[in-house]
Amino acid sequence: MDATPALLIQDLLKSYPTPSGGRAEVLRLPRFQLEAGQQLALRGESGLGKTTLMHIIAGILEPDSGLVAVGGTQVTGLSEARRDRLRAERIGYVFQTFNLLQGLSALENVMLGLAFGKGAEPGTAMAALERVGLADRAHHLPRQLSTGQQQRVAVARALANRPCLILADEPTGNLDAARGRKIVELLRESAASLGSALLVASHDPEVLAAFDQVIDLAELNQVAPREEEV
Amino acid sequence: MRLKAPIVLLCVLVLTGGAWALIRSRISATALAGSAKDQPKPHQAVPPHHGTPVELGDEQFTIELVREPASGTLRAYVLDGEMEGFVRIAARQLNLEVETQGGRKLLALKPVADLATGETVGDTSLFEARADWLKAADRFKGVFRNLRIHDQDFPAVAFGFPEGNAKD
Amino acid sequence: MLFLLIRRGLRQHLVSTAVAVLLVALGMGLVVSVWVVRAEAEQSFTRSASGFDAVLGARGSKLQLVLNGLFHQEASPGNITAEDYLQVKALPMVDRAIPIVVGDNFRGVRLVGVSDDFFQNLEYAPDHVYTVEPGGRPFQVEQKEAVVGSLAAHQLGWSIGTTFHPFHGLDYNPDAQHSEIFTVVGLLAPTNTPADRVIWVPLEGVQKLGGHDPAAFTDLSAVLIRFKPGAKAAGLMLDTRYNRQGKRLTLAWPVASILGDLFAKFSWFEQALQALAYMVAVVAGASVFSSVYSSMSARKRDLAILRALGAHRGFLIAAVLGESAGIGLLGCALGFGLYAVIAATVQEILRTRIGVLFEPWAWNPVMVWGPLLMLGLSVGAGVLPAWRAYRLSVAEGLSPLS
Repeated sequence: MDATPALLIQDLLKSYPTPSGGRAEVLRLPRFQLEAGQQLALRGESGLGKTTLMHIIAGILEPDSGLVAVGGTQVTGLSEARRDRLRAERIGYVFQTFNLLQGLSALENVMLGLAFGKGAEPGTAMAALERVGLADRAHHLPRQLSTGQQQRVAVARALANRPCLILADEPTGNLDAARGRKIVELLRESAASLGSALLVASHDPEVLAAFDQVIDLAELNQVAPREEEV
Repeated sequence: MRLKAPIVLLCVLVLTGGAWALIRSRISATALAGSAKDQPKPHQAVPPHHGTPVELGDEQFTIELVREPASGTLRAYVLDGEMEGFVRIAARQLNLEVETQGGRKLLALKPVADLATGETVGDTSLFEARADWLKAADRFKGVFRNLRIHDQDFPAVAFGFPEGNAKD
Repeated sequence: MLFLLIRRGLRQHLVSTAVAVLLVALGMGLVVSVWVVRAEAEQSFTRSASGFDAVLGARGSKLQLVLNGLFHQEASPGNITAEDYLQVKALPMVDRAIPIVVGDNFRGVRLVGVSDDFFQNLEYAPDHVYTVEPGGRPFQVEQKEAVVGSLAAHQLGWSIGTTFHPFHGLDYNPDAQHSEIFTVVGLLAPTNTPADRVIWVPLEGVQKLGGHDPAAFTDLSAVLIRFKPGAKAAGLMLDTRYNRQGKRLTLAWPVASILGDLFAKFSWFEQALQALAYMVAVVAGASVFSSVYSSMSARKRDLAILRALGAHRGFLIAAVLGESAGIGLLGCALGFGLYAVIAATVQEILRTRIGVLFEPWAWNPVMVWGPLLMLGLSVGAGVLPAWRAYRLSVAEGLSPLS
């Protein structure tokens, strides 16, 4: 196994401005690490900062301070363009609501997962679709696919660039239990076959039950949960 | 991929700027063309046949002299002071005294009728005379004697040929 | 991937894209039409002067002389005499002098009386002479014969051997039929000039028709004049003689300048059309803005997904501007199609009504700056939506829809 951790977080701090003019801390993580090929579920209820943490790891958001490194490359401190590129090349992201582009076919959506990194290769994208069992639906539009199939396309997109880290934020949120189980199974098998680390954020017990290792965000985060302001 | 976006951005700047410049230049060109057409043309006092102008009085009239060496013909056109219009007169002849290298000569320029212009003898702006010595006389001094044009008399109008007698 | 996204983006909002494309096309078509039709119409009129340099006629408007003598429009300002014709024909600087007489018609198609030397190697354009189609012949002088222009023959359905009664006047009046009968003996080979629109008959054929004043049997409507090559000052000399020195006759010269004055009279109309074309172009730009802006607003989530997948901000800008440029390009292409339709209509009108050949695809700088203008406006209209895309918050854009 590669000794370089797939994910390393140290002294992470993230806060948001409040209406009153101050700042409210959302995340304070002293340390978190995911080894290469490790699969971990992150438990936490909605509104506790799971998505914020995922976005920081992916380089979509910047923390106030701290270190985040993916596959040995520091994400924090990079320019936005470099973070974009790192995300395109090293990270696969599965969103809660599929987030497929409605105007593109399944194959084209998967090619998006490659386009901003090494380049969109139809052959590689098709292989990713085959891995999730949807090669025969390559030219279907999302509206022509079932919800389960759409999420499988999203998974294929996340895997297409053979990332060292796969992030999945509530990947079964829009699926029924049966389909949800299948998606989690697919994620785990695909990550294992690629040797990618997998971090799934969810509050769904069925999802959490599929993992050998589950960690509570509340245990990692030193910021106490607070009431969501509506 | 990484080059396409900057190239597209550059094209945008060029195209948008170009479009704006084009609109402005077309509006300016149309306005300029309009204003150019409105400008009055500068006054040009050039004899209509590019001959020799002989001013009568204080630019009241002009006689334009045109010499045709091949035939030895001297034509005199009676014009207004600004050489814009032709002035028809009833004179029976125009008397011209000429000093040449060969001595003093007298020319009687006779009125010419022209179907094309509608001029007749007694109502014409064109007078002409023919003489062999005119074929070689490219420079001379002349004096028109006793001219009468539209009730105005010009007893003696001196000039040089081909330079005329313009004061300025 | 960029071009794929642009194509799909345009297709996704098909209705607003189509409207914007149509408006750009309209703007482009109008801009090109206004500029080209104006410039090329004037050029085609000048080209159609049928090889003559000047027209001599009765005292009056030079424009009227040109329109009557060369374009067979309008009435002549009066008559001139045969002596006038003979005098100008004898001038040393004159190469050809062709007398014409008008005043009769057949169902609105003008009869033009002309001398028979009209068919004797008379050029209407460089290396092109008036000829009669095979199977026919020029008319004989003092015979009631006619040679018909190609457009007139087509319009009337005439062929060699057709006979007809002329009608008196320039406008058709069924009660003014002459008793004389003419016979078509030849069809004029097409010239793409106003000569194709009229019926050519001998001079005397018109002069001596029943009911015409015998005293005017030798009068002419005009003389068409061509100067000898190299006679550069000829026009100026005759202009001075006829127009300034003379008071009886008018020499319409130079033809191109006189026609230019005709078009200049309508410059106000041209400017109004130009202003309209610019306004339509600006409206088209606004339509592109509206289409792209609403498209981007609706696809905020898509843009956030692209960013989340690693697209940098510049890519989003390029995608947005690419869509507006795509609308511009499609509109420009369609705009040329619209121009083609407008130009074809103008071409047909000028050909059948006046006999002038209008060339819609003759080079004009507007063929380049017109599309560039529309493209620039379209792309410029995408700047604000692109700015919004640039400033997009990815986290907000990815928030689950409630």
